[in-house]
Amino acid sequence: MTFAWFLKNLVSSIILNFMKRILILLTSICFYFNSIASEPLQKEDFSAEFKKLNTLEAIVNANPALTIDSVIKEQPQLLKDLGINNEVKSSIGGDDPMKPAGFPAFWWGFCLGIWGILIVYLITDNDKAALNKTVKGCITAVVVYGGITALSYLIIFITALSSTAY
Amino acid sequence: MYIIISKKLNFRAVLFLLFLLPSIVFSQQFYRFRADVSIKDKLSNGTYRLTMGKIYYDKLYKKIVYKLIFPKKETMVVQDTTMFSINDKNLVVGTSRTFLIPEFTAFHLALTGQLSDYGLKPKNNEKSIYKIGKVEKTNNGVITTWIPSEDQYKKVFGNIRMQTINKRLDAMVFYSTKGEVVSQQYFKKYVNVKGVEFPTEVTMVSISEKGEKNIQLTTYKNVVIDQNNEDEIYRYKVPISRSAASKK
Repeated sequence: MTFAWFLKNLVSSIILNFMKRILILLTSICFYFNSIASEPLQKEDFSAEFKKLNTLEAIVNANPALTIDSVIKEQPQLLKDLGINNEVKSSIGGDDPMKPAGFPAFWWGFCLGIWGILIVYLITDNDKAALNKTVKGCITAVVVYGGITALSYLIIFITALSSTAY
Repeated sequence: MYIIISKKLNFRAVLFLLFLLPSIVFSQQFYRFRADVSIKDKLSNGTYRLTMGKIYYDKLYKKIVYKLIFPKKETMVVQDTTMFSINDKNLVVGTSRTFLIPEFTAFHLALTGQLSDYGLKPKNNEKSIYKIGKVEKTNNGVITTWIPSEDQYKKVFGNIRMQTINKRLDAMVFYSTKGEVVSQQYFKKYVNVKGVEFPTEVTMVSISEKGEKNIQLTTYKNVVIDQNNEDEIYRYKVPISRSAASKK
Protein backbone atom coordinates (compact mmCIF):
# COMPACT_ATOMS: atom_id res chain seq x y z
CA MET A 1 0.00 0.00 0.00
CA THR A 2 2.72 2.42 1.04
CA PHE A 3 4.86 1.34 -1.90
CA ALA A 4 1.94 1.73 -4.31
CA TRP A 5 1.24 5.22 -2.89
CA PHE A 6 4.94 6.08 -3.24
CA LEU A 7 5.02 4.76 -6.80
CA LYS A 8 1.88 6.69 -7.69
CA ASN A 9 3.36 9.90 -6.25
CA LEU A 10 6.64 9.33 -8.05
CA VAL A 11 4.97 8.77 -11.42
CA SER A 12 2.70 11.81 -10.98
CA SER A 13 5.67 14.01 -9.99
CA ILE A 14 7.65 12.79 -13.04
CA ILE A 15 4.68 13.52 -15.31
CA LEU A 16 4.19 16.93 -13.66
CA ASN A 17 7.89 17.78 -14.11
CA PHE A 18 7.80 16.63 -17.71
CA MET A 19 4.68 18.75 -18.38
CA LYS A 20 6.37 21.75 -16.75
CA ARG A 21 9.44 21.34 -18.97
CA ILE A 22 7.26 21.02 -22.10
CA LEU A 23 5.33 24.15 -21.06
CA ILE A 24 8.55 26.13 -20.47
CA LEU A 25 9.94 24.91 -23.80
CA LEU A 26 6.75 25.84 -25.66
CA THR A 27 6.64 29.26 -23.97
CA SER A 28 10.27 29.97 -24.89
CA ILE A 29 9.64 28.89 -28.51
CA CYS A 30 6.63 31.22 -28.59
CA PHE A 31 8.68 34.10 -27.15
CA TYR A 32 11.50 33.42 -29.62
CA PHE A 33 9.25 33.51 -32.68
CA ASN A 34 7.36 36.48 -31.29
CA SER A 35 10.63 38.38 -30.87
CA ILE A 36 11.62 37.54 -34.46
CA ALA A 37 8.26 38.64 -35.82
CA SER A 38 8.29 41.90 -33.88
CA GLU A 39 11.86 42.80 -34.92
CA PRO A 40 11.54 44.52 -38.30
CA LEU A 41 15.32 44.38 -38.83
CA GLN A 42 15.04 40.62 -39.31
CA LYS A 43 14.06 39.78 -42.86
CA GLU A 44 11.02 37.65 -43.49
CA ASP A 45 11.19 34.98 -46.16
CA PHE A 46 9.53 36.43 -49.27
CA SER A 47 10.59 33.66 -51.67
CA ALA A 48 7.06 32.25 -51.89
CA GLU A 49 5.69 35.69 -52.83
CA PHE A 50 7.80 35.80 -56.00
CA LYS A 51 7.57 32.18 -57.12
CA LYS A 52 5.41 32.93 -60.19
CA LEU A 53 7.44 36.04 -61.06
CA ASN A 54 10.57 33.86 -61.03
CA THR A 55 8.97 31.73 -63.78
CA LEU A 56 8.32 34.87 -65.85
CA GLU A 57 11.86 36.11 -65.18
CA ALA A 58 13.29 32.78 -66.39
CA ILE A 59 11.21 33.03 -69.60
CA VAL A 60 12.52 36.56 -70.33
CA ASN A 61 16.09 35.55 -69.43
CA ALA A 62 15.89 32.67 -71.89
CA ASN A 63 14.76 35.02 -74.64
CA PRO A 64 15.58 38.70 -73.94
CA ALA A 65 13.91 39.75 -77.21
CA LEU A 66 10.47 38.84 -75.81
CA THR A 67 7.97 41.63 -75.36
CA ILE A 68 5.04 41.74 -72.98
CA ASP A 69 2.64 41.10 -75.89
CA SER A 70 4.48 37.97 -76.99
CA VAL A 71 4.57 36.63 -73.41
CA ILE A 72 0.82 37.28 -73.08
CA LYS A 73 0.30 35.20 -76.23
CA GLU A 74 2.54 32.37 -75.05
CA GLN A 75 1.75 32.34 -71.32
CA PRO A 76 -1.72 33.91 -70.92
CA GLN A 77 -2.55 32.06 -67.71
CA LEU A 78 0.73 32.95 -65.99
CA LEU A 79 0.32 36.66 -66.72
CA LYS A 80 -3.35 36.54 -65.73
CA ASP A 81 -2.35 35.00 -62.37
CA LEU A 82 0.22 37.76 -61.92
CA GLY A 83 -2.25 40.50 -62.86
CA ILE A 84 0.07 41.70 -65.62
CA ASN A 85 -1.39 43.05 -68.87
CA ASN A 86 0.09 44.82 -71.88
CA GLU A 87 -0.41 48.22 -70.23
CA VAL A 88 1.86 47.40 -67.30
CA LYS A 89 4.65 49.89 -66.71
CA SER A 90 8.12 49.40 -65.34
CA SER A 91 8.63 50.01 -61.65
CA ILE A 92 11.47 52.50 -62.15
CA GLY A 93 10.86 55.79 -60.40
CA GLY A 94 7.82 54.45 -58.60
CA ASP A 95 5.46 57.40 -58.98
CA ASP A 96 2.31 56.71 -60.92
CA PRO A 97 1.62 59.88 -62.96
CA MET A 98 -2.10 59.16 -62.63
CA LYS A 99 -1.67 59.46 -58.87
CA PRO A 100 0.45 62.58 -58.31
CA ALA A 101 1.80 62.48 -54.74
CA GLY A 102 -0.22 59.28 -54.23
CA PHE A 103 -3.58 61.01 -54.74
CA PRO A 104 -5.69 60.27 -57.87
CA ALA A 105 -5.44 63.03 -60.50
CA PHE A 106 -9.24 63.32 -60.77
CA TRP A 107 -9.60 64.19 -57.08
CA TRP A 108 -6.88 66.85 -57.29
CA GLY A 109 -9.13 68.69 -59.75
CA PHE A 110 -12.34 67.86 -57.90
CA CYS A 111 -11.14 69.05 -54.50
CA LEU A 112 -8.79 71.91 -55.39
CA GLY A 113 -10.16 73.08 -58.75
CA ILE A 114 -7.78 75.30 -60.70
CA TRP A 115 -5.13 74.96 -57.95
CA GLY A 116 -5.33 71.16 -58.32
CA ILE A 117 -4.68 71.48 -62.07
CA LEU A 118 -1.67 73.69 -61.37
CA ILE A 119 -0.27 71.28 -58.75
CA VAL A 120 -0.72 68.25 -61.05
CA TYR A 121 0.93 70.20 -63.89
CA LEU A 122 3.96 70.87 -61.70
CA ILE A 123 4.19 67.44 -60.07
CA THR A 124 3.80 65.39 -63.26
CA ASP A 125 5.78 67.78 -65.46
CA ASN A 126 2.83 68.37 -67.79
CA ASP A 127 1.65 64.74 -68.08
CA LYS A 128 -1.27 65.15 -70.49
CA ALA A 129 -3.23 62.09 -69.34
CA ALA A 130 -3.00 63.08 -65.67
CA LEU A 131 -3.90 66.70 -66.47
CA ASN A 132 -6.88 65.52 -68.50
CA LYS A 133 -8.19 63.60 -65.48
CA THR A 134 -7.60 66.62 -63.22
CA VAL A 135 -9.52 68.91 -65.60
CA LYS A 136 -12.36 66.35 -65.67
CA GLY A 137 -12.34 66.38 -61.86
CA CYS A 138 -12.49 70.17 -61.88
CA ILE A 139 -15.40 70.21 -64.38
CA THR A 140 -17.25 67.55 -62.37
CA ALA A 141 -16.81 69.65 -59.23
CA VAL A 142 -18.19 72.73 -61.03
CA VAL A 143 -21.17 70.73 -62.33
CA VAL A 144 -21.85 69.17 -58.91
CA TYR A 145 -21.45 72.52 -57.11
CA GLY A 146 -23.60 74.31 -59.76
CA GLY A 147 -26.24 71.59 -59.55
CA ILE A 148 -26.40 71.76 -55.75
CA THR A 149 -26.59 75.57 -55.85
CA ALA A 150 -29.29 75.51 -58.54
CA LEU A 151 -31.23 72.88 -56.59
CA SER A 152 -31.06 74.87 -53.37
CA TYR A 153 -32.21 78.04 -55.19
CA LEU A 154 -35.05 76.04 -56.72
CA ILE A 155 -36.10 74.75 -53.27
CA ILE A 156 -35.94 78.30 -51.82
CA PHE A 157 -37.94 79.60 -54.79
CA ILE A 158 -40.61 76.88 -54.48
CA THR A 159 -40.83 77.40 -50.68
CA ALA A 160 -41.16 81.16 -51.16
CA LEU A 161 -43.74 80.67 -53.89
CA SER A 162 -45.84 78.30 -51.81
CA SER A 163 -45.70 80.60 -48.74
CA THR A 164 -46.90 83.61 -50.85
CA ALA A 165 -49.71 81.50 -52.29
CA TYR A 166 -51.02 80.95 -48.77
CA MET B 1 60.51 60.77 -49.53
CA TYR B 2 60.92 64.10 -47.71
CA ILE B 3 64.64 63.38 -47.52
CA ILE B 4 64.87 62.94 -51.28
CA ILE B 5 63.07 66.22 -51.93
CA SER B 6 64.89 68.27 -49.35
CA LYS B 7 68.38 66.95 -50.04
CA LYS B 8 68.75 66.79 -53.79
CA LEU B 9 65.32 67.29 -55.36
CA ASN B 10 65.89 64.36 -57.65
CA PHE B 11 64.03 64.68 -60.92
CA ARG B 12 62.83 61.08 -60.77
CA ALA B 13 61.49 61.61 -57.27
CA VAL B 14 59.57 64.68 -58.43
CA LEU B 15 58.14 62.63 -61.29
CA PHE B 16 57.16 59.96 -58.80
CA LEU B 17 55.38 62.50 -56.62
CA LEU B 18 53.65 64.12 -59.56
CA PHE B 19 52.33 61.03 -61.24
CA LEU B 20 52.39 58.05 -58.91
CA LEU B 21 51.32 59.56 -55.61
CA PRO B 22 47.97 60.92 -56.79
CA SER B 23 47.15 57.51 -58.23
CA ILE B 24 47.94 55.92 -54.86
CA VAL B 25 45.96 58.51 -52.90
CA PHE B 26 42.91 58.37 -55.18
CA SER B 27 43.07 54.66 -55.99
CA GLN B 28 39.96 54.03 -53.89
CA GLN B 29 37.82 56.45 -55.90
CA PHE B 30 35.30 54.61 -58.05
CA TYR B 31 33.03 56.36 -60.46
CA ARG B 32 31.04 53.95 -62.61
CA PHE B 33 28.58 51.19 -61.91
CA ARG B 34 26.85 48.86 -64.34
CA ALA B 35 24.80 45.73 -63.70
CA ASP B 36 22.00 43.58 -65.01
CA VAL B 37 18.95 44.35 -62.92
CA SER B 38 15.70 42.55 -62.22
CA ILE B 39 13.03 44.29 -60.15
CA LYS B 40 10.14 42.21 -58.87
CA ASP B 41 7.19 43.90 -57.22
CA LYS B 42 4.28 42.47 -55.30
CA LEU B 43 1.77 45.25 -54.86
CA SER B 44 -0.75 45.52 -52.07
CA ASN B 45 -3.63 44.93 -54.53
CA GLY B 46 -2.25 41.42 -55.20
CA THR B 47 -0.81 42.18 -58.64
CA TYR B 48 2.82 41.83 -59.69
CA ARG B 49 5.32 43.71 -61.83
CA LEU B 50 8.57 42.63 -63.41
CA THR B 51 11.17 45.05 -64.75
CA MET B 52 14.37 43.77 -66.35
CA GLY B 53 17.33 45.39 -68.04
CA LYS B 54 20.66 47.03 -67.34
CA ILE B 55 21.48 49.92 -65.05
CA TYR B 56 24.27 52.41 -65.75
CA TYR B 57 25.42 55.05 -63.29
CA ASP B 58 28.32 57.48 -63.36
CA LYS B 59 28.71 59.50 -60.19
CA LEU B 60 30.22 62.46 -62.09
CA TYR B 61 27.29 62.82 -64.51
CA LYS B 62 24.77 61.90 -61.77
CA LYS B 63 22.46 60.27 -64.31
CA ILE B 64 20.87 56.91 -63.73
CA VAL B 65 20.27 55.19 -67.06
CA TYR B 66 18.10 52.09 -67.29
CA LYS B 67 18.22 50.18 -70.57
CA LEU B 68 15.14 48.04 -70.12
CA ILE B 69 14.20 44.92 -72.02
CA PHE B 70 11.00 44.10 -70.10
CA PRO B 71 8.07 44.95 -69.91
CA LYS B 72 9.05 47.23 -72.82
CA LYS B 73 12.25 47.95 -74.65
CA GLU B 74 12.88 51.48 -73.50
CA THR B 75 15.47 53.69 -71.89
CA MET B 76 14.73 55.51 -68.67
CA VAL B 77 16.97 58.34 -67.61
CA VAL B 78 16.82 59.86 -64.16
CA GLN B 79 18.34 63.31 -64.16
CA ASP B 80 17.91 65.74 -61.22
CA THR B 81 14.33 65.03 -60.15
CA THR B 82 12.98 64.20 -63.59
CA MET B 83 12.61 60.82 -65.20
CA PHE B 84 12.54 60.59 -68.99
CA SER B 85 11.14 57.58 -70.84
CA ILE B 86 12.71 57.20 -74.25
CA ASN B 87 11.51 54.66 -76.81
CA ASP B 88 13.62 52.56 -79.17
CA LYS B 89 13.32 55.30 -81.86
CA ASN B 90 15.10 57.69 -79.48
CA LEU B 91 11.98 59.79 -78.86
CA VAL B 92 10.92 60.98 -75.43
CA VAL B 93 7.59 59.30 -74.72
CA GLY B 94 7.09 60.60 -71.20
CA THR B 95 8.53 62.71 -68.44
CA SER B 96 7.63 62.69 -64.79
CA ARG B 97 8.93 63.85 -61.46
CA THR B 98 10.65 61.12 -59.47
CA PHE B 99 11.72 60.59 -55.89
CA LEU B 100 14.75 58.66 -57.10
CA ILE B 101 17.68 60.86 -56.07
CA PRO B 102 20.98 59.63 -57.58
CA GLU B 103 22.98 60.50 -54.42
CA PHE B 104 20.80 58.21 -52.30
CA THR B 105 20.89 55.16 -54.53
CA ALA B 106 22.77 52.03 -53.48
CA PHE B 107 25.12 52.43 -56.50
CA HIS B 108 26.20 55.97 -55.60
CA LEU B 109 26.63 55.07 -51.93
CA ALA B 110 28.62 51.94 -52.83
CA LEU B 111 30.89 53.84 -55.24
CA THR B 112 31.57 56.53 -52.65
CA GLY B 113 32.05 54.02 -49.82
CA GLN B 114 29.09 55.34 -47.86
CA LEU B 115 26.75 52.36 -48.13
CA SER B 116 27.57 51.03 -44.65
CA ASP B 117 25.83 54.04 -43.06
CA TYR B 118 23.56 54.82 -46.04
CA GLY B 119 25.23 58.21 -46.32
CA LEU B 120 23.67 59.37 -43.06
CA LYS B 121 27.00 60.14 -41.42
CA PRO B 122 27.66 63.87 -41.89
CA LYS B 123 30.56 64.76 -44.13
CA ASN B 124 33.09 67.45 -43.23
CA ASN B 125 31.38 70.61 -41.93
CA GLU B 126 28.05 69.50 -43.41
CA LYS B 127 24.85 69.86 -41.47
CA SER B 128 23.19 66.48 -41.18
CA ILE B 129 19.50 65.72 -40.77
CA TYR B 130 20.29 62.69 -38.64
CA LYS B 131 22.60 61.99 -35.74
CA ILE B 132 23.37 58.75 -33.90
CA GLY B 133 20.98 58.22 -30.99
CA LYS B 134 21.89 54.74 -29.81
CA VAL B 135 24.31 51.93 -30.69
CA GLU B 136 23.68 48.35 -29.57
CA LYS B 137 25.80 45.29 -30.13
CA THR B 138 23.70 42.15 -30.64
CA ASN B 139 24.28 38.58 -31.78
CA ASN B 140 23.12 39.63 -35.26
CA GLY B 141 25.50 42.57 -35.58
CA VAL B 142 25.51 46.23 -34.61
CA ILE B 143 22.21 48.13 -34.48
CA THR B 144 22.43 51.91 -34.78
CA THR B 145 19.44 54.14 -34.16
CA TRP B 146 19.61 57.41 -36.07
CA ILE B 147 17.45 60.23 -34.76
CA PRO B 148 16.66 63.62 -36.34
CA SER B 149 19.43 66.01 -35.33
CA GLU B 150 17.14 68.97 -34.55
CA ASP B 151 13.65 69.44 -33.13
CA GLN B 152 12.37 70.97 -36.36
CA TYR B 153 13.36 67.80 -38.26
CA LYS B 154 11.56 65.61 -35.70
CA LYS B 155 8.26 67.05 -36.95
CA VAL B 156 8.92 65.65 -40.43
CA PHE B 157 11.36 62.74 -40.10
CA GLY B 158 11.07 59.64 -37.95
CA ASN B 159 13.91 57.52 -36.56
CA ILE B 160 15.94 55.11 -38.66
CA ARG B 161 17.28 51.83 -37.30
CA MET B 162 20.17 50.27 -39.11
CA GLN B 163 21.81 46.88 -38.72
CA THR B 164 25.35 46.26 -39.92
CA ILE B 165 27.06 42.87 -40.02
CA ASN B 166 30.85 42.87 -40.44
CA LYS B 167 30.68 46.59 -41.37
CA ARG B 168 28.23 45.81 -44.18
CA LEU B 169 24.77 47.36 -44.19
CA ASP B 170 22.34 44.50 -43.64
CA ALA B 171 18.96 46.03 -42.84
CA MET B 172 17.26 49.38 -42.34
CA VAL B 173 13.93 50.30 -40.84
CA PHE B 174 12.38 53.71 -41.41
CA TYR B 175 9.85 54.94 -38.86
CA SER B 176 7.22 57.65 -39.14
CA THR B 177 7.20 60.56 -36.69
CA LYS B 178 4.58 58.55 -34.76
CA GLY B 179 6.98 55.61 -34.46
CA GLU B 180 5.24 53.35 -36.97
CA VAL B 181 7.31 51.30 -39.43
CA VAL B 182 6.92 52.82 -42.92
CA SER B 183 9.69 51.02 -44.78
CA GLN B 184 12.04 48.08 -44.31
CA GLN B 185 15.07 47.47 -46.51
CA TYR B 186 17.34 44.45 -46.54
CA PHE B 187 20.74 44.32 -48.26
CA LYS B 188 21.93 40.76 -48.86
CA LYS B 189 24.32 38.66 -50.95
CA TYR B 190 27.21 41.11 -51.15
CA VAL B 191 29.83 40.87 -53.86
CA ASN B 192 33.18 42.61 -53.93
CA VAL B 193 34.08 43.97 -57.36
CA LYS B 194 37.41 45.81 -57.60
CA GLY B 195 37.08 46.62 -53.90
CA VAL B 196 33.50 47.93 -54.10
CA GLU B 197 31.16 46.07 -51.76
CA PHE B 198 27.71 45.79 -53.30
CA PRO B 199 24.55 43.93 -52.19
CA THR B 200 23.17 41.97 -55.14
CA GLU B 201 19.82 41.42 -53.44
CA VAL B 202 17.89 44.38 -52.06
CA THR B 203 14.41 43.87 -50.63
CA MET B 204 12.21 46.82 -49.80
CA VAL B 205 8.92 46.57 -47.94
CA SER B 206 6.83 49.73 -48.01
CA ILE B 207 3.93 49.99 -45.61
CA SER B 208 1.16 52.53 -46.19
CA GLU B 209 -0.79 54.32 -43.46
CA LYS B 210 -3.57 51.76 -43.95
CA GLY B 211 -1.06 48.96 -43.32
CA GLU B 212 -0.95 47.83 -46.97
CA LYS B 213 2.37 46.28 -47.96
CA ASN B 214 4.25 46.59 -51.25
CA ILE B 215 7.24 44.27 -51.56
CA GLN B 216 10.03 44.96 -54.03
CA LEU B 217 12.91 42.58 -54.64
CA THR B 218 15.78 43.96 -56.72
CA THR B 219 18.45 41.56 -57.92
CA TYR B 220 21.72 42.66 -59.52
CA LYS B 221 23.95 40.43 -61.64
CA ASN B 222 27.21 40.91 -63.56
CA VAL B 223 28.25 44.00 -61.61
CA VAL B 224 30.94 46.00 -63.43
CA ILE B 225 32.85 48.82 -61.75
CA ASP B 226 34.60 51.62 -63.65
CA GLN B 227 33.73 50.38 -67.12
CA ASN B 228 35.81 52.10 -69.80
CA ASN B 229 33.49 51.75 -72.79
CA GLU B 230 29.77 52.51 -73.38
CA ASP B 231 30.54 56.11 -72.44
CA GLU B 232 27.59 57.42 -74.48
CA ILE B 233 25.19 55.51 -72.22
CA TYR B 234 26.69 56.79 -68.97
CA ARG B 235 26.46 60.40 -70.20
CA TYR B 236 23.14 59.78 -71.97
CA LYS B 237 21.91 62.89 -73.75
CA VAL B 238 18.15 63.09 -73.45
CA PRO B 239 16.78 63.79 -76.96
CA ILE B 240 14.92 67.05 -77.48
CA SER B 241 12.43 65.44 -79.85
CA ARG B 242 9.29 64.05 -78.31
CA SER B 243 6.99 61.39 -79.69
CA ALA B 244 3.56 62.41 -81.00
CA ALA B 245 1.94 60.48 -78.12
CA SER B 246 3.72 62.54 -75.48
CA LYS B 247 2.76 65.82 -77.21
CA LYS B 248 -0.97 65.00 -77.14
